[in-house]
Amino acid sequence: MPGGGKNKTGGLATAKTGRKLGARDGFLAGAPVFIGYFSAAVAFGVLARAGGISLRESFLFSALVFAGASQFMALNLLQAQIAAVEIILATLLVNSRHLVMSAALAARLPEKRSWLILPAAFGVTDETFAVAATREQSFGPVFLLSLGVTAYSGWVGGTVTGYLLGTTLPPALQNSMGIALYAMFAAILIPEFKKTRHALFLATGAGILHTVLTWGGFFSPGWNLIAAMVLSAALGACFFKEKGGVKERCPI
Amino acid sequence: MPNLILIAGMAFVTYFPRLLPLLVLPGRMLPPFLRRFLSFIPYTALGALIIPGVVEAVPGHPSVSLAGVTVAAVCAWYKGGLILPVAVAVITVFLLLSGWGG
Repeated sequence: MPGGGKNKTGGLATAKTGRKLGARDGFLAGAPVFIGYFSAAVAFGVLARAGGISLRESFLFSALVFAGASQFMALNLLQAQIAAVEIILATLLVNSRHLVMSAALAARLPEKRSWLILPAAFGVTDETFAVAATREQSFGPVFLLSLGVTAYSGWVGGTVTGYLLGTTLPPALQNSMGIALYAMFAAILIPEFKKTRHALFLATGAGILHTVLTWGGFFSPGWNLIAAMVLSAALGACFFKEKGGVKERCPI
Repeated sequence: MPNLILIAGMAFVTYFPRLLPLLVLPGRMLPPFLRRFLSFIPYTALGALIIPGVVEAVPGHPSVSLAGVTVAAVCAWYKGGLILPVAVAVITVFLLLSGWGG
């Protein structure tokens, strides 16, 4: 678009707020997730190989399941000779959190249906959810799909890379990578505190609740996370109401 | 290949919760409470994903983990973006771990 430089935002003519996010935005938003996933998946590839899993199966784990925490968990449980049915059940419990995250994304999607939601849904992870849900602009399945594809290629690529040459990486570097995804979560969350005062209370509350549940050993680790996330959001929805909103009863 | 059955099962139970709300919810009028609840999920999810797990981000080094995530947080507050804070955090942790061994 020639002559776009007159735009006051200083960027490209397309960089207006209120614009719908598209495929290119998804790839750009996915870039940091790609980096974080690649390094985390290298660790998965290394551990899978050490656990006696074949290259083909390690690839299929990442390519078909695409869920970091539960894949690491499955490796541990396989080592402990736990039955497949139990591992699958544990996976369902851990990954039920995506039900809530997908619901939060679904509330923002346009009414118009598209088959692209089928592959896009496969790409909903903690990280892609966090990246997408904190965007102010509106988006559809195309944005989610390109975001998911970018993250996915990092995860699958990292798995194969880690399997093939992971043991040659220096341990200090491997250990340093553990911080990458947490740093990304923090980098997504912190700027939200400038946008709404609710964000700080909600995030801190959920963190404290999660800590209490974890230390108390209330549920399995997966359910502690879900309970912390859901309970604090529900409490928040009771306390933080829109001004001038209709009176309603709090369900909890 | 018992592992292939395991992978297929894990793939199904992981995909299903991701897909269901995206198939069912778009276009429905949700009650205000539920809409507010869902709009708060990103913040509570991030809070619960970070705390308390971050303490063990670098296994066996809670203070190094906290230093790394703090550097990322400060960087994100002032500069924004994701790649820079993540890179700064990884480098910080790498340097601290390298210094640890003497």
